[in-house]
This record gives sequence, C-alpha cells and structure tokens, in this order.
Amino acid sequence: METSSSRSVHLGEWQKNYFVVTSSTCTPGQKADAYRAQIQSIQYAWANSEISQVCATKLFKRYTEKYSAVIDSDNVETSLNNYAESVLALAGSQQADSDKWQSRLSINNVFKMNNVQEMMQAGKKWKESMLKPVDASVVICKEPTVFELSKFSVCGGSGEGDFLASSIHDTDRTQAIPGSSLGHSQFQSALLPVAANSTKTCPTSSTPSGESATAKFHTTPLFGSTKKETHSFPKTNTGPNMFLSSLSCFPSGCENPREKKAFYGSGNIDMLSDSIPNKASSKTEDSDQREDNSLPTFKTAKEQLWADQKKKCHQSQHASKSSYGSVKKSLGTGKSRGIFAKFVPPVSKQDEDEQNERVKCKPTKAESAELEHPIDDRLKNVEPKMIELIMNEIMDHGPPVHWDDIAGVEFAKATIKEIVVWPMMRPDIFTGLRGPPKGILLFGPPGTGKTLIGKCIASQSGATFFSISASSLTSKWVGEGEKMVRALFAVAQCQQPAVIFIDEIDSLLSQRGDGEHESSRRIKTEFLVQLDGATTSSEDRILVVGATNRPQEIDEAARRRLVKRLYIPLPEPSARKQIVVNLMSKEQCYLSDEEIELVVQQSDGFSGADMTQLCREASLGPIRSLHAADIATISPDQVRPIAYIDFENAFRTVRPSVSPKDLELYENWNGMFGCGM
Amino acid sequence: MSQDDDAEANRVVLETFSSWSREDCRRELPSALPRLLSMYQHSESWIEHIRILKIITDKFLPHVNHLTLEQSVFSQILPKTIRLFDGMIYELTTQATELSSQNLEIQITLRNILQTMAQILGGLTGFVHHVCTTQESVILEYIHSLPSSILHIIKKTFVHCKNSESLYSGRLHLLSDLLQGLFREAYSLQKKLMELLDMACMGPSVDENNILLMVEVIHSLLDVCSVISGMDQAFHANTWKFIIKQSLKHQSVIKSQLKHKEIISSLCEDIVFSFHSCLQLAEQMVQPVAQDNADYRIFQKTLKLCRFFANSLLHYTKEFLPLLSDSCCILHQLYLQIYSKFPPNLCAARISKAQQEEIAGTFLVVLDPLISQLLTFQPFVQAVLDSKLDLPCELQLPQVLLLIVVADKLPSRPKDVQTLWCTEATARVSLIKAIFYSFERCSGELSLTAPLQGVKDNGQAEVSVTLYQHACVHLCAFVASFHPSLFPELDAALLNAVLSTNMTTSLLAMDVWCFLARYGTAELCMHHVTLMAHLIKSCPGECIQLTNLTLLLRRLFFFMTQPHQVEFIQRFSPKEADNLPLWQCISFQSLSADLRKEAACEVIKVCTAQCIKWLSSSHTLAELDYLNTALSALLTVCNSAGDALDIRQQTTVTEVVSQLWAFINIQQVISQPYVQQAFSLLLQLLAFFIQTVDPQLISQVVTLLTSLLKLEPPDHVSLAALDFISSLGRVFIPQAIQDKVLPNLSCIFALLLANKNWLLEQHTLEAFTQFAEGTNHEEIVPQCLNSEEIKNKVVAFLEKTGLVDETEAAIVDRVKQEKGTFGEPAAKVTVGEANGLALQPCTKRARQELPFEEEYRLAFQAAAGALETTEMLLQQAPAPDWLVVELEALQEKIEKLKCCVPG
Repeated sequence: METSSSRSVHLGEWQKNYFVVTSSTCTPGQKADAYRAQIQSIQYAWANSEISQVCATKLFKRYTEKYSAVIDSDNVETSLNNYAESVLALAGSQQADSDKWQSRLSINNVFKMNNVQEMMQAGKKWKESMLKPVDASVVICKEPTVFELSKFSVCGGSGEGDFLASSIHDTDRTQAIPGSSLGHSQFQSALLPVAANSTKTCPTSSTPSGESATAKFHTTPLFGSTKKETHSFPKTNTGPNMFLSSLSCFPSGCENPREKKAFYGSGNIDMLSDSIPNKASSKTEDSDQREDNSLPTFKTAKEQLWADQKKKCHQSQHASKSSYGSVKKSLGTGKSRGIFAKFVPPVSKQDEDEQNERVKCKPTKAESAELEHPIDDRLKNVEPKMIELIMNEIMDHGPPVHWDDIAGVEFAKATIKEIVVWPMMRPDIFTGLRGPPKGILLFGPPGTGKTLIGKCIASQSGATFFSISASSLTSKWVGEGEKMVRALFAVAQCQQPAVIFIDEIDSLLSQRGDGEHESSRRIKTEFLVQLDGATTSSEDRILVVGATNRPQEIDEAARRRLVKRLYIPLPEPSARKQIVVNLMSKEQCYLSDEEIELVVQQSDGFSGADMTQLCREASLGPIRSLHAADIATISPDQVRPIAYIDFENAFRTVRPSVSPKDLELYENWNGMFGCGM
Repeated sequence: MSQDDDAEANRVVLETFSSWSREDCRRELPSALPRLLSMYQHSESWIEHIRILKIITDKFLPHVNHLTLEQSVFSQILPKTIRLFDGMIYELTTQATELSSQNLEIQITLRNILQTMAQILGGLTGFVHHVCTTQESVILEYIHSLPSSILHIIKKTFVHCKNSESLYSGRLHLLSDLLQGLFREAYSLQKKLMELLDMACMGPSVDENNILLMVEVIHSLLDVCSVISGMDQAFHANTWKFIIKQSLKHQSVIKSQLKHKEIISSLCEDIVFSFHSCLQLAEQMVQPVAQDNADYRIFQKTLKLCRFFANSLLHYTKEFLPLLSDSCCILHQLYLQIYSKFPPNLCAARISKAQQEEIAGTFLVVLDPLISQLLTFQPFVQAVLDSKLDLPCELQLPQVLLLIVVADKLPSRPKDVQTLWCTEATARVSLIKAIFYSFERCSGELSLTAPLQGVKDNGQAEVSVTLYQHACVHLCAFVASFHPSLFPELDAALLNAVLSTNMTTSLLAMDVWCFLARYGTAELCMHHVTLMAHLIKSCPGECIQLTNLTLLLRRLFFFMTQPHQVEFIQRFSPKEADNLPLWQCISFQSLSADLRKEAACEVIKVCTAQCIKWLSSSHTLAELDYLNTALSALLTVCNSAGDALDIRQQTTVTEVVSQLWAFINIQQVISQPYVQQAFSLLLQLLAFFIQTVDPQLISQVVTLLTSLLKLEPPDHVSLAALDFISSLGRVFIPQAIQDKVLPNLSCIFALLLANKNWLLEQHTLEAFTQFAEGTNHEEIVPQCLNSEEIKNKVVAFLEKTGLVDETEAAIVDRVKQEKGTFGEPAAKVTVGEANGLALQPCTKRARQELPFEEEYRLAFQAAAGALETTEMLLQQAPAPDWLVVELEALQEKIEKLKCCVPG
C-alpha cells in the first residue's frame, strides 16, 4: 500500500523536523511547528495503518509531552509561554473578566456529554479487545527463561541467604540511620552494616551514577533469586508466606522510621549524634542538597536556621529592627532565598529532556547562581556590559528603611504592605486573585516620601531592589535605551523577587506625542512591552514601582499597566509633628509640646521635604546667634539648644514648595485614576 | 396593387410632414400625430416605420405635452416597436444558419435587418433624449411604458450580440461591423435611459404604480447586467453602479418590493466570476514579468473591478441588511468560495507572493467590513453555524478563517451578539465548536506550512505563521475576552474538542485550555483538573481520547497552585491503588520538591505492593491489567522524579522488575496484548535502571529480544525494545557476558534498522546514534551496519543529508493525495463508537449478535478439537467399550441440533 518513494518522503520530512527540534539555533516557534508536524505524521501513519493504535498513542504521548514543554513554559529562550505575547497583543484592548469565569461542567453532567460517552465506549472496546474471555485464565508462565535464571541462582545462595538478609534488615531498622539506604546496606555481602559504612555512601547516593552504583547493586539478584526459589514451590503453604514476609521488609523499611519519628523524639537524635554529627557538620553542603532525603527525625543546624528564619518572616511586621536587618541581609544573598523559592509554584518547570531535568531538579542551586557569570539562559542574549551596569544599579547598600521611618501616609503604607510586601514574602498565600499587581505608581507633590517608600518596600520585602532613575535609561546610553530596559527586566527575572523602582517615571513614560524623539519612543514601547511581559508570567515576582510628581503626564497605556496608583499627599499635622519630633530628637532641642503644636500648625501646606528644610533652618539658628569670631573656638556642647524662636525665624525663609493649585491638580488626578480613598 | 398605392400615398404624406416647419408641426399636431400613429400601426415596411419614428421624434414630440406623452405617443408606438424588433431578431436567428459568403442575398437581408435595428434603437434614443431635455424631474408614471420597452429591446440586443459568435459561427466577419454598431447604439441608449431614470422623482408621496415601475426597471437592469457581464467590463460595472445607486436612492419606498436575494446572488456571482478571472490572469503571470506590461494592466483592472463589486455589495448589504435574511447563505458561500481559491488553501491558484498581497490588499480587505456588518445579523449566524452545514473539504479552511475573523471581532461587540454566536440553538452549533469541527477537516492545509499573517506585536515585524499557530493565537485571544456568562459554553466545547480522535485538533484544544488555565483563576484550574481526574479514573480502558485527557491533565497540573496540588493529592491519594491510573499520567516535575518526594514515595509503595500482590497471585492474564497500571505509574515516577527516589526505593523497584521479568515468555508476548504491554513497561523500567541492573539479567533480556524481534512483534513492542537497547550505551558490559551480549546487540540493531516501517526505522536511527555516542564498545558499532544500504542510511542521518527535497508543488500534490487518508480513521472510529453507543435499539441488537456468534464458534472449535483428540487416541491405543455407544449418542444429538436450526 505504501510505495517506497512516499516512505522516503515521510522519513525525510520527519528527519527534517527532528533536526529542527534537536538544533540549538531554532526558535521555540520553529520547534513547536516541527513537533506538530511530527504529530501530524504519526496521525497519518496511524490513519494509513502503518502503525498500530498502541504505537500511535505511545508516540503521540511522547511527542506531545515534548511539545508541551515548548508551549507551556514561560522561559523566553526555550518556549513560547502559551503564545501569551501575541495573544495579549490581540486581546489587549479588551477587558478581561477571567476572574469571574465559572465552569458549569460537573462530575454529574460531564458524563452525559456525547464525546465522553464515546470515550467510555472506546475504552470498553479496547479492554475487550485486549483480552479474549477464554484467555482470561491463561497463566503467565516463565517457561524458557526459568532455565537461565536458575543458573545464577545456584551460584548466589539459598534459603540461608534469605534468612541472613532479613535478620540484618531488622538490625538495620532499629538503627534507623538517616540518609542511609536500607537497600544496599542490607546486601553488603554478609557483613553487618555499620553506621559508618552507610554514612560514607550517603552523599553519593543521591544520584545513581558510575561504578559505585553498580557495585552496590551487584548482589541484588542474589536476593531476587532466592525469592524465586521460594516462589517456585507455590503449592507449599509456607512458600508464599515466606515470600511475603521477606518482601514486606521493603515497604516497611521505608515507612517505619517515619512512623517512629515521634516515638524516638530527641533521644534518637542524641543517639545518632554519636555516629554522624562530625561528618554531617563537615559536609553541610551535601546534607543541604539532600535535605529532602534525610529523615525527619534529624535536623541539621542549617535546617534549624532555616526554620527559624521562616518563623521570623511570618511575623515580619512585628519583628524588631535588628532582626529585619539580618533578614534583609540574608535575603540579599542567594542561599536563603531558597526558602522562598520553595513556595513558588513550579509552573515553569517542565521536563524537556533528561539532561535538563537533572539540572532543574536542584532549584535551590540553580536559582542562587550568582550573576557575575551569567549562566542563566535568560541572560544569554543580553550584553554582559549591560548586565554589569544594571547590577550596579541594584540598591543593596544603605541603611534599611522601616515603615516607622515614614511619617503619615498610613493608607499608602497599609496598601503597599498588603499588595507588595506580604506577597513577596509569602507567594504561596498570595496566589490567584490575591496575586500581587505587577506595577504600582506613587504620585504626589514633591518631597512627600515617595522615594522613601520605594526604599522601604525593598528593605521590607526582602527583594532585590533596582533603583533606576529614568534619566539613566534615557540619556546615559543613547541608542541602547531599549536594550537597557530589556536587560533590566532580564536581570530582574533572574534575581526574583525583585523590585524595580523608577523615580521620576514621567520622564520615561510621558505621553507619546508627535514631537518626541524616536529613541525615547522606542524605550517607552520596550518598557511597556516588558511591563506586560512581566504581567503575563504570573509566577514572576517582579514589581515595578514608579514615582512621579507629574502623574498627569503619564501615557495612558502606562497608566493602565501600573495597576495600583497611590496618592502620597502632603503630610497631615500628626505626620508633621512626627517629623519634627523625630528630627529634633537627634539634636539638642528644647521645645515644649505647645511649641511643637504651634510649629505644626504654622507649617500647614508643607511637604515632608519642606519640614526637613524647616528643621534644618531652625537648627542653624543657634549657630547664627553666635559671633563669627567664636565659631573657631567654641566647643559643640556650648552651642545653645534649638528653641522655638529659631523656628519662628525659619518660617520667614522656608515657604511651602507646593502651591494649592498644584495640590488641586493631584487631588483631581487622584479622584480620576487613583486607588486611594 | 392597392398596397403599392398605399405605400406610395404614405411616402408622399411622410415627405410632406418632414418638410414642415416647426410652426407647422405645432399647429397641425392634433391631426397629424394620430395619422402618423395609425400609419405606424398599419405599416408593413420597416423603412416606413423608421421614417415615421424619425418624424415623430424630430417634428412632433417637442410639441406634445409631457403629461400626455405616454397616452398620445408611447403607448401607441412602443408595443408595436417591440413586436417589430422581436420579429427582426427572429428573422436574424432563423436566417443566420444559411448565411455564407456566397449567398449574397441573405447577407444583404441580414445586413438590412441589423441596420434597421440600429435605427430603431436610434429612434428610441431620440425619445429618451427628448424626455431628458424637456423635463426637470421625471415622473415615471407619465412615461411608464418607455423604460420597460427600452430595457426589453436593449436586453434582446445584447443577448443577440453575445450569442452572435455561436450564431453566425464562421461568418461573423461578414456582419461584425453592423453588430458592433448595434451594440454601440444599445449602449448609448441604455446610458441615456439611465440618465433619464436618474432624474426620476420618487418622493415619499409617490404612488404605488410609480414604485412598482422603478422596481421593475431595476429588475430588468439586473437581467441586462447578467447578459453583459462577459462583454464589457466597464459597462457592466456602470450598470451595477446604477442599480445599486437607484436601489439606495429610493430605498425607503422600494425596499419591500426589491428582489434582494436575486440582486445579492447575481452580484456575488459577478464577484466570484471576476475574482476567478483575476486569479487566472495572475496565474499566467507567475513567470516574472515587468510590472507595466499589458497582462499586468488587465490584471489590475480586473482586480479593481472585483473591489468595485465587493464595495457595491458592502453598500447594499449595509442598507438593506434587515431584509437579507434569505441571502445570508449566499454571502457566506461567497466568502468561502473566494478564500478557497486563495492561499493557504490546498486548492488555491498558484500565484506569486506579490500578486497574492496585491489581491489581499485591494480586494480581500473589503470582505472584512462585510463580515463586521453581518456579525450582528441572526440569519447570518444561522447560516454560518448551521449544524447541517456539510461543506466540501476545500471550503473547510475558508470556514475556519471566517470563524476566526468572527472570533476576532466578537469581543468588541455587545454581549447579546456574543451570546448569539457562542451559544447553541436548534440547528446551530456554537462558534468554538464550529471552529474545531472545521479545523479537524483541514488536515491538508495543516501539514503544509501555510503562511498566514501573524499578530503584530508592539513594534515587532509581522511574520507569517502556520495555520495552527494562527488558529491557536486567535482562539486564545478570543478566550481571553470571554464573557463570564458564556464561559460554560467554552469549556464544554473545549472538552469536546480535546476528546477528538484527531490528534491535531485535540492538541489545539489543549493549547487553548492551557492558556485558559493560566489566564483564569487557580480555582478554575483546580476544578478542571478534578473533573479530568474523575473522567480518567472512570474510563474503562485505553483509547486515544483517554490519552488526550491524560496529556491535558499532565499539562494543567503544572499550572496548579501548591495548595491545590496538596488538595488534589488528598482527594486522589497516591496511597490508593484505585488512583494509580491518575498518577501514571501526572508529571512529578510539576510538584514542589517536598510534595514530589512524598507523592513519589507513596506511588512507589503502592506500585510495588501491587506487583508483589501479582507475584503472589495465580498469574492469569486477567490479573495483568492492574499490574500494568502499577508498572506504568512506576515508570512515570522514575521518569519524572527519578532523583527524588532514594537508593532503597530504587532497589525495591529493580528488584520487583527483575522478578516480574522471569514471567516473560516469547509466545505470550507475540500473542497477548496485555503481556505486550507489561513487556514494554518492564523494558522501559529496565532501561531507566540500566546502571544498576544485573549484567546477567541484561544478557538475558538481550537474548530474548533477539529471538523476539525475529518473530516480528507488534510495532510498539519494538519501540520499547529500542528504549532498552539505546540505554545500553550508558553501561559497560562486563567481560563475562560480552561474548553473548554484543553479537546479539548488533543483531538487534541490524534487524530494527532494516524495519519496513519508516517510523520505526527513524526511531531505530535515533536509538542507534544515542547508543553509538555513549557506548564503550565501539567495536560493535560497525557490526550493526551489516549492509551497505543500512550503513548509508545511518551515515546520511548523522550527516543530516539525504533528505528528499520536494518542490512546493510536489508537496501540495502529495498532501492532496494524503488528505483522503486523514478523514478515514476518524470516521471509522466514530462510526464504530456510534454503533457501540447503546442508544439506538437496532445497533444494540447488532452488537449482541457478535458475541453469540463468537461463542458458537468457540464451542464448535472445542467440539472439533475433542473429536480430533479422539481420532489421535484411536491411532495410539485401542478404544474403550463405551466409545461406540457414546459416538452414536453424539450423532443423535447432532441430528436434533440440525432440526433446531431454522432454514
């Protein structure tokens, strides 16, 4: 039915596609097409009765799994991210109600669907075709192979070996050594397994590789053959029993230590500590990696540390200053982000092929990879120079800022905590609808603490903080602006969780007009695209925080993407008081409460920066009252404290920097687009 | 004689009249005109008729009151004129056959007739001209017989001109000058008439008759249009322009009387016709030609015509949409017809890229607003989504493209329009369903890399994409904007499509579903996963639909949040053997590290327990079912969470696997599907643990495979064997068994490389290269390539050469051929299942017959077998005493049975 030419044509076509999917230069799109073509070929071969249905199903499964790895993952280099970019470009203007989607399919009605019934019928038919009723009782026998088996069962051993093994097994169980594998210690010839022996093999046991593995299993068939012996006399009553008992040691071996965990308690750890601790502590790294494998009864120092840290994070906002500092620091380094990494739903992990799998199975390792060597494939296409520049923009230094350091703006602070800081800390809770926004905009008159809030977000959320001034993107590297933007987001993706803070964002995202320069337009476009890109992969934890005092100039497309728009108003009287008290507390100052109230009253309309300026001016008062000649000789404690009179003088020179007209503008904009009250 | 006298007298009278001055005529009008008219009625001479016509037009018409024109002139003259004209046409057609260059007499007669006809047309032009010049606006009723009569004559003329070639065949050149003149006369007459009609006044107060007249005129023009369509493009276009213009101008009064369906259908016909000629021209130009040659200009002109017609259609439908319910099918077909001739359709004309773009940019763009207009129109929805719409296969792709265009437009429409398209109704399927239905039937186009326009990303260049990607992206975008109230339709339709027997369709549905899962809430994803899990669990056996479902479940699992995964694990606990069918399809990679470890542990525990249970059972085939499920789940754990297993678990698994291996025997692998399944799974598990498998066992497996493959096992068994032997590249084969294993290995490779099935051959190539790259035993690599042919094949594969290069045209031809094959299995499967669907009683009975027959056969085989055994025994040993008696009893029984069988 099939001519040789059509055969060679199909083969050639398949190979062409095979070369595409195995090539390293083809785009994910091409690979997806190639896989689809292969699936189509399978369908054709099946339709043409060249292959059986079982074979077709098998191949279909195999290739669809590979195909879905290309489609579903959000890795930009290797996959298509469900075509999200194109799809959202198409659907972008439409309002999405996906959060209100409700399926009406239920277990009851789904079985009534025609296709489902057909599936059930097909399944039934298949089952019938698999086994003719007459054959159901045919016994699977081991005829010719038995001969071969018996050959090496003789050289192995007999019932004695069985007995030996099970007795060893018992002792083994009582010892319950963490990380040791019952499997191989059991069969280390006839030797009693000593703790030292098994712990030695422990680090290597995570990957079954090389000669050591083969050596370990060398005796396996010995055990197997004995069982077969017992099994070959199924008529005797004892046979099956023996067989079962000898086998049952496997499952129970796995289970028992766990069950007994509570039982053993701390005593067990003590007992163990004789045999292991030295090795364990010297090989912390190994036990780190194998953390999952070790038995729950045993906690390494490292584990304990992690657990403690985890606890701290849960009570973040109540924690003391110093503990914050330490959390922040440890978060900055790669290792401890591991805890957080655990919570990330493993959406992007797909098993593409075995090689990749091996690498990916160590998420803690892979994610902590330092960026100096951009091994991360997301950074492959970015120039190293740019990565370096971006890395320099990471604000990892400077004192940590606390919410308490920001006076007033309680609403904004509460909102940010709710939508930014907590989700960054506990992405496992903030999923789905609770998922954090990808962009927020802080706006308000100058000097009200927007930048401070940005810093605070960084230090409180434990995220990598990129502080980018818009000008550094627009002017520093002319013509490379959009590359910078791309690099920024790529680096941020590798450094998740990350906060990108962009001060004066209006200069970057001002409304697109005719008169603007081509390059700035491109930067803007790239930025918007990236912002959207960050939105699409829901598990990416990148937050863009923009700050501006010209919200009205922001492009509407950008406005849409910066979902939360928070108004940071001028400080309230109470906030102003806090500022004054706070600042004055560091100086020598004698102000009565009434005087402070007066200052606060008089400073109506002052911004936070104005208040600082006022205090600065006032603090100069005592100096001014000195004679110029004395300034060289006077000791610091001879300077008189700051008094109310200094403030009165200061009020003459310091004026509010924000006009009521400007304020009105902000309030209007807030009314229109803001998210606040 | 008296006749001659009459003629003479008439001639004299006519001469007198023609010599009258303007003033004379005005004065004598009341007496002269009736006389002329009566002469016209009674005259037999064409020459006389023409003269009378001329005199009336020139001398008397200017003096007739325009209100009485109809009564006093037209109604008197025109009926007779029509009769005359028809008579002339009749003369022409009857005498034309005798025309020859020798027969001068007939030639002269025919020429005379043609000349007279032209003169009649000229006279009528005079009438029209007169009306046009003397009246500001025309009330049709006052000239009511004029337009209809003229149109009748014009049409006859054009028909005659059109048929002239066949009518006069070889002698056309003898008359062609006159025919051309005739055509020109008719042409200018029609032009004049159209001018006149343009002046027609049709206010809202106009009475019924006037309206009817106008409608009649439009319909007659429509007839004319269909006649001249192939004759003169510009004229044809102008006529259409006029028809559309008039219809729109008097829309308010004539809309209910117009035959919209006829107008639409002939307009559509003309569009398709000119589009086809456009394509033909483009096809002829495929050879690169200069842009400014004549061919290209004609192409452009035709293209413009297409665009003009399409625009006209657009205008017309826009104005009369509510009245077009019965024309929707035609419009739908128009869209399909046009796109079926355009790439990427398989039947498309082969035209160059530049011209494709030109056609698309000039003409096809007009169809888009047309669809936008029709989008809200319920009958159109009905026409497009008709559940009985049985489109031929070349229209399936255009249908998909149309539906995608609709899907693109819907999100911006109000909810009721969306509801209209997205919900099912009597005799109507939903949009999504229809897309999948037609998509499934585009297998041919899918296997081509059909270039369609990609989505413009912000700032990025437009790229061409495959049909699949086009459909996928647009469907996803449609899904993204789905209204919550319509959502139930969506996931039901998707599930339906996932359960398709066509892999590509199912794949599309899965891709869309995965997008949906990421776009929708986590809870929705959880709900879907749970549903699928239930379906998978309750499906009794494997089938392609089940495979599709498991693949989707596997993919969706990656999108679940961790809490939901935990919930899933609790609900479908891996601790229970019942749930193993689920766990064999879930990738453990989708679970977080600790969950993965926990779940993997559970699954391994349960699976090994199942294996042990089997080992201690009676080992019947029926019991293999649960063993296979357990093995398959084991394989999944190993493949997707291999490194989460500790040594102990690995040992347990290898242990059980090698025990089970002992039960494999070749005969059963060849004959029993269940054993084949178990065998394949065991091979794959062994392949996974190859580094820890005992060398003796490896040797044993290789020996068995060698003898098995010689017996040509089913293809999927060979495939599993390939997995095993390619993994052998990763191990060193100990000295002790090398002598045995290596020769067998090369024998296996050689056997499989020579496989007749190209898919198996390809997988062997892949497995072989994998083995050859990894193995330490390089010496056996050349041994596997025992024939020159195979060696060449492998070398070509490694060097990525030897690919067959097909031309584009050859690919299209092949795909066209193969397209037929694709339809078959799907149809076969569904028919088979429909039979199984225990809904109709008749099919149910049919199904029951089969097993009975089977049982009969089995019983008789048993009986025959027993008799044969008896025969054998008789040959070996003496018969017992009772044998004869029993035999007789048997014979009696057989006789009785014979009587029971009817017929």
